Amino acid sequence: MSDNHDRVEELLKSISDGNPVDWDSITRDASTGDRVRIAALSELSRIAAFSRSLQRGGEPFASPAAGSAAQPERWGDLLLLEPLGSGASADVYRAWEIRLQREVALKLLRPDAAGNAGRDADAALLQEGRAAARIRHPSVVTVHGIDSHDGRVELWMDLVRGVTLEQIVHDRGPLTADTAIRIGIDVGSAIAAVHGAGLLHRDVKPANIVRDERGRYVLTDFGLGCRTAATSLASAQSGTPMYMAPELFAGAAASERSDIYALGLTLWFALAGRHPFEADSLAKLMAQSGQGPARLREVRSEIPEEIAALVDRAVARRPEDRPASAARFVETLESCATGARAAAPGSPGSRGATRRSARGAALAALLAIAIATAAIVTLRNGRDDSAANRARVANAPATAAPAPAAPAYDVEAAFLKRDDDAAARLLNGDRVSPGDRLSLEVRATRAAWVYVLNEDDRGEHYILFPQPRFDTKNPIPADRTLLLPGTIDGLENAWTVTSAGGREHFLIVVSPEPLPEIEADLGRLPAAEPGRPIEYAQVGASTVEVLRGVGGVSPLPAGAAQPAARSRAFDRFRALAGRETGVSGVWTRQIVFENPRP
Amino acid sequence: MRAGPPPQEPPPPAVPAPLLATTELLRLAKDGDAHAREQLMARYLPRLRRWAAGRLPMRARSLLDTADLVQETLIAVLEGFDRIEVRGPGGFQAYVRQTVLNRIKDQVRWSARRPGPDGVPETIDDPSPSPLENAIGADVLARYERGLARLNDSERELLHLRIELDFDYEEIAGMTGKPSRDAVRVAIQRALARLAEEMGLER
Repeated sequence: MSDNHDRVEELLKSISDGNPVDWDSITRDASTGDRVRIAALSELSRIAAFSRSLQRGGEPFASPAAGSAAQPERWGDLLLLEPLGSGASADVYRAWEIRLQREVALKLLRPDAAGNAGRDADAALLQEGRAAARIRHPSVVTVHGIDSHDGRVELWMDLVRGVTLEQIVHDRGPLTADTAIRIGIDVGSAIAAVHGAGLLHRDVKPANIVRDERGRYVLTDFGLGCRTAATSLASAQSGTPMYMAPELFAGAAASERSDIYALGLTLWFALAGRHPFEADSLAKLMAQSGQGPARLREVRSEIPEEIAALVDRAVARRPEDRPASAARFVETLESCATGARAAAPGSPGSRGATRRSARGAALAALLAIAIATAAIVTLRNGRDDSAANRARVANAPATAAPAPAAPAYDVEAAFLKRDDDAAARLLNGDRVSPGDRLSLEVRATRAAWVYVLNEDDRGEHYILFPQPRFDTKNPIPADRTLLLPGTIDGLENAWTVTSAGGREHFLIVVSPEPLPEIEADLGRLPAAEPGRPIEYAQVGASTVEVLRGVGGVSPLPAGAAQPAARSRAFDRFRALAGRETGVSGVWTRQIVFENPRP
Repeated sequence: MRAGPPPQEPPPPAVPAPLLATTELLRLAKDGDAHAREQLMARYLPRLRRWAAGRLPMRARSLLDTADLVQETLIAVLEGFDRIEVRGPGGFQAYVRQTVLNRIKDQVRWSARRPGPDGVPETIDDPSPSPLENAIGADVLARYERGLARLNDSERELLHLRIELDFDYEEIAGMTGKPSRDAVRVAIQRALARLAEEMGLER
């Protein structure tokens, strides 16, 4: 009886909060007497989900006064909510996928978009769309399905809310080198994923890059309709040829390097605040494209040389002069980012180790205040236990680690700095300051246990996630992007930087199985209780050692300074690289943010 | 570092701050306070429009835009406010909601009677479904409406604000004069339980 009551309360809470519920399994497990009530709750959940979609979808449906006769209301399992736009080859709608109760973008290709080649072209598009649907990357819009009805190919995918890069540059003018690097890394890795699936995007341009609500740059409008637009001059005239590589104008086939060219030209546009070519006819555009854009530093001399050189190389006239792959482009961009930070005056890389350690004692005091509650609770709840546990962990055999035979999976993790209405991804070495609210965006392609550890300047470690009071629990579900720490009693929370001075060190651990060492430390925390302050469990350095063992430690680059005796335990973990595919076993990454005194 | 609610939750742009209880705004509007009237419009109009868009079949939208329909209704309600007796908490929202629904029904009937492409009037027995009916089914929507009608005004108001208009708990607390977001949350869950019970009785 009590179980039933709790379950119904939980369902009511989920409906009200807008959290997803697996109604099929709830219904299956319900007693006959409960099924009627569960069915009614499920219906209410559907009504709530649809209403939320309406409310969060922006403006009300456009009045269909013009062209309403031609506008379908339903397409297969998709309910068309409003037109989002029309291009040369397709119409795009905001739609509601009835069976799965989710909002999607539906792209309906015009009947002649496949190049008038009939069924063969349709079949090729369908095959390409199916390949696209297998791509899972946080910066590639997820394609949910593709089909053909009444002679029209339909493709439905995630509806990405946000603002296009084209609009951002239009509103703000030229972007900073840091922002362009972020865009290049996000979109470049997205293109690499597309190429890795054996596909080409064919329409990379600022209008197809959206900064979503979490600050990530997402490559949208997955090709297909642009397939022909990029491969023939005739269709280019009706499409958007501004970002076409010069060899395409000459009739060459689209290639990975023509996608890289489009990305380079997009970054040129973002950094210069304007398109490199000013042409009012296709003939003029072809002529200018053949000459190539101006060198970026001729337009903005303050752009760091390495970044400008990389963009210039990406827009080289000859394909063979461009970076060999999108992945290579991203790697170079990442090294540019690291180099720029190290060279910046006052940046951490330019400081001496002596100065750093001399400052340590003062910072320790500040940080101790910032997490005073955690320290007190740890002492009260069993410092002795902790010591015993550390000893146990230290002696734990290597087999305590999850079996290495676990199937490989992909992990994506990034810290976000969150404003009231937006969020920006943080890269390793970025600055934070008191008052900043941080969340960890994490996704894995399998159900996984996530742990977030913080190391203070005294070398002590605390478990920031999971926490008894957080609504989000381990394991996190597969293929869902979550923001940690998530909600407490339905109210979204963030980790807040409360003091200045020093650095914030985080270790992110993703594991296919619970890690007994950390779970033991977590087990000593008091049970969740409304109103109780957040309290963090402390873990010993030996637990970190075990993590290094199970997560693997990448070798330091040749010539790197050896860790001093007082070096941080996290320092030998690899820096957060955002996304990694084919992970087996435990995945660990560290990220450090600078938090200097004002 | 600490985990906890953000230092300050700014009100979303759709709802001007500070949030006055709807009853207080209505009282001020009734006394001729133009600012209070504008606040009421700003608070409800965008969300009511989106809500109504889900209720109006595509076919019925060609002559009168959903946005116009809702705006006209809300203005009419506020202008005729002196003549309307709104009782108790939630009475205003319940009245506006029902008035908009009545307007939509009129619109659907009217559009069904106007001549179709072949010049023959379409029958009112064959109205095209609204997006919401398409999404959840006409029978479910009918049971939902009948269930809502059996709740009290306060319960209806909470569900309308949360489930249909997607206001957050904080906003609803401000608008309804409830003491806290937690109080709102609990009240909404109770109202949902009541509604599920009513809907379940009809199955």
